[in-house]
Amino acid sequence: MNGSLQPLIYQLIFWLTQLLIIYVVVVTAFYFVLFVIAARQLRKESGLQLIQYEDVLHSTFTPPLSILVPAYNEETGIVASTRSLLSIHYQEFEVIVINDGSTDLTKDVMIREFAMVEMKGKVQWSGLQQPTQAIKGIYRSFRHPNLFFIDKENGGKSDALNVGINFSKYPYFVSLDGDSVLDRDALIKVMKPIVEARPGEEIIATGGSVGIANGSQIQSGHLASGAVALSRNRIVVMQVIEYLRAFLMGRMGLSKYNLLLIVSGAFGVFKKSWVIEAGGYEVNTVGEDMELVVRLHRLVKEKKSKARIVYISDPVCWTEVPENLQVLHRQRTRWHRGLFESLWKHKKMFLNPRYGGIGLISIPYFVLIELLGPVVELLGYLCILVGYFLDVVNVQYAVILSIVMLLYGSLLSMGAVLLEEWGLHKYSRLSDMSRLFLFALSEAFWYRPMMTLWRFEGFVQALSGRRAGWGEMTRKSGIMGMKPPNPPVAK
Amino acid sequence: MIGKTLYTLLAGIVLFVLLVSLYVVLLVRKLRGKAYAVRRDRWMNDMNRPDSSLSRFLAGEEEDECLLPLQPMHVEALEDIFSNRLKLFSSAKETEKIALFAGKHFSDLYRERLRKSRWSKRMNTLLYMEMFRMTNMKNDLLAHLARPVCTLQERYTIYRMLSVFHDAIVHDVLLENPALPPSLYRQMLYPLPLAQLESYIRGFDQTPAWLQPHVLDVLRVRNERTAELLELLERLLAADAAELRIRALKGLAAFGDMSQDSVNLLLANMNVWQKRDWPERLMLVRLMGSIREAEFLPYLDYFIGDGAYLVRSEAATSIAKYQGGREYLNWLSLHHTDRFAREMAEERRRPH
Repeated sequence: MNGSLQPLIYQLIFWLTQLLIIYVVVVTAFYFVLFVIAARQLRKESGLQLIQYEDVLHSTFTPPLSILVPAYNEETGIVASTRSLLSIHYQEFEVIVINDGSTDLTKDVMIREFAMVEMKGKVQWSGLQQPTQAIKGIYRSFRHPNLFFIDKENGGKSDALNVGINFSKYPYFVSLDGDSVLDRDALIKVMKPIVEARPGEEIIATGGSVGIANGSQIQSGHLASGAVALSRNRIVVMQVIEYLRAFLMGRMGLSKYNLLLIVSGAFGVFKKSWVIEAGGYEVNTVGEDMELVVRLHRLVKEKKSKARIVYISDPVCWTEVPENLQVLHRQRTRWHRGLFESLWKHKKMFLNPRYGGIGLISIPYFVLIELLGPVVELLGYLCILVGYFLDVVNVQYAVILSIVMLLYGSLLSMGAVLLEEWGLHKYSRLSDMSRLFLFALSEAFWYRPMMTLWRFEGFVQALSGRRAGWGEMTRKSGIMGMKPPNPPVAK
Repeated sequence: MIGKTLYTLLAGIVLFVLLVSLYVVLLVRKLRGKAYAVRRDRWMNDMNRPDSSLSRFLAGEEEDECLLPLQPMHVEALEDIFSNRLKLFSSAKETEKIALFAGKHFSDLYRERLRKSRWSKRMNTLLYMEMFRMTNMKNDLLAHLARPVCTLQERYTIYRMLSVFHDAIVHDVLLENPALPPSLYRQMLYPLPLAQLESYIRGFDQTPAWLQPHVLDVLRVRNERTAELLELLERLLAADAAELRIRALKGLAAFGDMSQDSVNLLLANMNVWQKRDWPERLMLVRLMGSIREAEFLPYLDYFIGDGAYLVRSEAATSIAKYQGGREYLNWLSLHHTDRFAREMAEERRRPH
């Protein structure tokens, strides 16, 4: 190697390593703080009985809700999903299924199964300053006066939700994925913070934990109590650990200080007037759920309001996750593109004191840890590799440090399992617990590097400006009663 | 370097021990929890049998020794059984027996639990006390309110209970706290005796503004029908606040009656009502369907062509309530000058 270049490389490696060490220390500390906050909250609420929801369930004064269900090629599952929604425990609600230009028989099965007739003359506009694709027809059910079906041109999930917002008549709406399975008490649980808010303590959105339904049996459109079981599929088990960590640790911790930037697209409640004022769902973006929440936070700060976005730990919604690497790969690159788009769109909030904790903590956390995490991690691997060949790496120390970091990661994962035990108690089998433990230990060897690579790929795709339509998801027949959907129609 | 390696190694060992300990703790917790659940479920199943001492007690017999909650597990099981019965199918007599039983056997335990430092334990206790209507613990509740450890959620639950127990403190809480959750005002007003609600009707103008809408809501939901209330609702049709006018319209629609003077006044001011926001027009149209005065029909003809879909829809529903309303909707679907009105009439004349 050129003699004048070698010291420069040594210097570069040295400073990069110093930066990486600081980064790792900050990330480690941040996750630890999140864990402590979440643990305190869940420990406090641990053992709280379900009768706490009785007053909300039986009160005639509980605010009515509009449930928006965007559907794209869901002919096999939409009737069962709609039936399960109609049987949910809540005083007053309407279900609005929005068919986003499906190319299968979604419209026909809905009209046939629920005896739907066309409604005419309802102006579909709520004040939302967001154009939508053309509506082909609006139907209401003769059998269920609170069931409506909107048939529209294909425009993506955000566009379908915007149409639903325009049509809905109640002050709060629930956004739901067509394949989400809700607990019967889901709406009561997510509405409780809203119902109990004091004057001046406006709650504009609430989200709940999303659980993984793979491995469990759905009965009559709901996950029966005590029926939650850990899937035998190892990719699913790793996702269970990921979900527990993300929801119980991450979101719980951030929500405590109104710093939550994501309310899952699979299930969230929003105050309609705020969403309309914020401009509704952004079309042509992958991460429409996060983008909307960031925009709501922005609006809150710009209006100098004290409105909050809260998160409840109860697993109120269940969803099916990918069972093979191909679909998981597609999902994760897509999610990372969505993250990039949302953060890029609101880049002016980054480290901007005008936006308080959101600008100074949440956005930097999502940029530096979530978005750039894979880049930094790969850089770390590169440093070690180059350092090894330049003979500047103390192999013994590096191995010990790697083991320490592996143990720390596993400890956080098991910590999330502990939070599950305190707060939710859904995984009751001892064998499930042992498998979660073993998989948490193995994560660093196969799952994490894979995720890092895919997330990096998503980051690169985002930089190159790649867009996506409806998320593609291959469903396993028999779990949710679905069949694989047809590929989405590009628009 | 050796020192750094050693410290890192030590950190690794600590983490490993922590990790394994956590796993063991979780395993033991699960094992103990499972064993406990099995014993509790077995006891509950025994108690739920039709010939059990509990079933006989709830059916009217005296309690026997088998029913006594000797262990915490028995208390938990009985709490579960009682709360399920109260939620699903309990008769007034059974509710009373459960309250008596809880008052007799749970009071000491609940008093002790209210002093626990763990919030969820105190909160669960309050929720069960509320469910079992343990009026005998009123003083304990008042004492708990004064404790610094009492959180807002506990405070609200106690307010609700005191309201069910018709305690005098409720009146002061309602009048002196402008910042309670709106749902709590209604939950507190709802169980109050009619005499107290009537005092709010008589002194409505002196009632704090934050409480007024909730008083009207609760009277409507309770379906109270007194001359004083009718007079108040009619008077509030001329209130300055739209919120009160809307509630007055809603209340009158639920009441189903109005004095002829008020009907005349409403008709005389119809041009003003027609210009008001759609929620008021909606309630007005609902009222016209509830009172069913022939003079309202020309206005319903107008409102079935209203700019707001919900008003048009409500107008069609109101027309259908009049004698011959369905036939009139048929006629409107063909002959109304407004296309929206014709479509709405067409939509509504089809049978549900």
